[in-house]
Amino acid sequence: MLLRSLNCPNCGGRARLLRGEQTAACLHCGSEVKLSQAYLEEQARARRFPTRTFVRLGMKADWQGAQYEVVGRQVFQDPEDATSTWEEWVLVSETGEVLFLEFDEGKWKLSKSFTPQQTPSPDQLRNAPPGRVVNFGDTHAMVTESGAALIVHVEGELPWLVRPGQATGYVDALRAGEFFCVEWTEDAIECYRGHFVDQRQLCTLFGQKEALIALDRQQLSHQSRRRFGAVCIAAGVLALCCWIYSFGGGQVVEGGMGNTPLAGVTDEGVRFGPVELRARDRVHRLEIQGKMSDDSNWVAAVLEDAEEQELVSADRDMWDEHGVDSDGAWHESDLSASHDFVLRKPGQYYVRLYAEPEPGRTPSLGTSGSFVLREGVLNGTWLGIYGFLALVIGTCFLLSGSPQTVQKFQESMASSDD
Amino acid sequence: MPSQTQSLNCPNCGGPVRVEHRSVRMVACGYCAGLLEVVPDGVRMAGTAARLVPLPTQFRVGQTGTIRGRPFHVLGRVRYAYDEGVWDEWYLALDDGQAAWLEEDDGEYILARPEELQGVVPGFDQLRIGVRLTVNGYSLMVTERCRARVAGAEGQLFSRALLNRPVNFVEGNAGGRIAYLEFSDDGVEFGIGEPLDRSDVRVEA
Repeated sequence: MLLRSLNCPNCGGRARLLRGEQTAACLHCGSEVKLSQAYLEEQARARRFPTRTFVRLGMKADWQGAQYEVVGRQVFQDPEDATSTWEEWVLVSETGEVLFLEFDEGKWKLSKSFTPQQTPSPDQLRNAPPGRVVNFGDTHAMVTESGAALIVHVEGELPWLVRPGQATGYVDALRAGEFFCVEWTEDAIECYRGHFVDQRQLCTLFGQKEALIALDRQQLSHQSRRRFGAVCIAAGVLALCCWIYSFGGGQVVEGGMGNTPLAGVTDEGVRFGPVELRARDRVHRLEIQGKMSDDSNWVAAVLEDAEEQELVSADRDMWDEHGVDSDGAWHESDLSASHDFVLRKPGQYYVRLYAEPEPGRTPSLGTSGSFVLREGVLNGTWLGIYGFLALVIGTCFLLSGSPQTVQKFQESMASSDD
Repeated sequence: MPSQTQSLNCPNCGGPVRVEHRSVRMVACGYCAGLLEVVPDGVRMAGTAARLVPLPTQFRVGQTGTIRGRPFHVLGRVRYAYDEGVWDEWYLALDDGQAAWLEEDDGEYILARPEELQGVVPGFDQLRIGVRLTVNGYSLMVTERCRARVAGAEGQLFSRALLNRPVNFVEGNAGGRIAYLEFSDDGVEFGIGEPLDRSDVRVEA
């Protein structure tokens, strides 16, 4: 007995069933309507196997010009895996045509019975692992899944008799987007064909205008997310390119280079300049470079104004080491440093190079230090951070706007795990 | 298209009954639900026709229409019941004077014509799913078998559709056509049918 046909035997009015109750009360005359044991069992099973979809018994659907009604629902289970269940809604038209709407692993399939030119034999069906071809005479399809299906729940008014506990063998197959299914028992082999339906087709089928509007909104939102994600990724890539470029970025300022042997550097340092810096508010870079072999020195470059006022500096404990170990010869060094600054006041500036050897050592003759002043340098560190963040944010938005891509990726990962 | 029309009266209630085709063997009286057997001198009472619970369909007794462009006329209907449900067989008179039946099972249509069985076929119990055999030159594989009974009838009928009469059916796929073997106390009958698309059938309002 179906809830929608639960009518009062006294006045014919609609009776209302409260969850868990053994009787229903008529909404019109107040009579108590006793429920059959079969109906109560169906209700108990329905609570065990609630639908995961918006489809409900009694819903109307339009398909190829005919109106259908959802009259029943069957829930199937893999006999070897009780956690694997799928459901099938049965739709019947006013003229008796039957459609099957299956929901399995998040996908919808709409199918109907058909007579192939050649029905596969039970032997062929029992031996049809995924990948094998099923021949229907005038067409063929590749098996995607085969096994047994146990009916664990039935509700509604199915046009045939089905009892929970019945099992059927089945073979699912695909050909160019068309879906085939062959089911067999001891007494019958039934063939079905159909196709997958997406959420939009499903909403159209059931005339769910509000759901269609919501779907449109969702798609617009996804589109916006994808666009924003793409812009972020493009900006991130650009920023990262600039960041990479910034390692050697900018132009050397005229006269902005100097080099001196470190052995001759006194405590006052060696002053270079003047250097004319003109690019107001641009990022400048003061780079220092050491040249030494098996030596270690502290090297610094200080930018000064005409009054010898220290403005910015770059310094580093520079070293260079050679050696031989069990892996062979090795060479390590740390011989450069830089400091970026924004020029606020154009004018003449000086660079003073300082050096100090490791205590107890004197710089060797070939050891020297140099500096380079560049202007128009990109602010590389922040560009790198911005670029990385933009890439991460862009990817997140792109993925959140492409749920199907994510789903396919997860499915492919799951199948590769299997 | 009636090939002959014979107006008679029900021996039970006196209501008028019509026999419109030479192959009609029984008539269900539309007034008293009496099931009448057609005999050479008229009709005689043979039993009672059960009232049929209405199921969704576009056919009714007396309806006219076309199948693939060929006119037909619905003479009667027999409903068979088996373990898993029921199906209807609509008896049709076609424009060429031949009779056919249109099986309607879960919304699927198959138009079948009886053929005289030539030779011998295995018994119902031997015809399991997947068995291959040749009947009347048709090479077929058994795809369905069931033990059924007559659940009700209306109009003019080609078969002895007595209530609860047991009939065993075997259905096979013969190169995309459907072959039938019908085992009853009358012996074995054979028919060959073709699946129809909904668009093949046009009924007149």
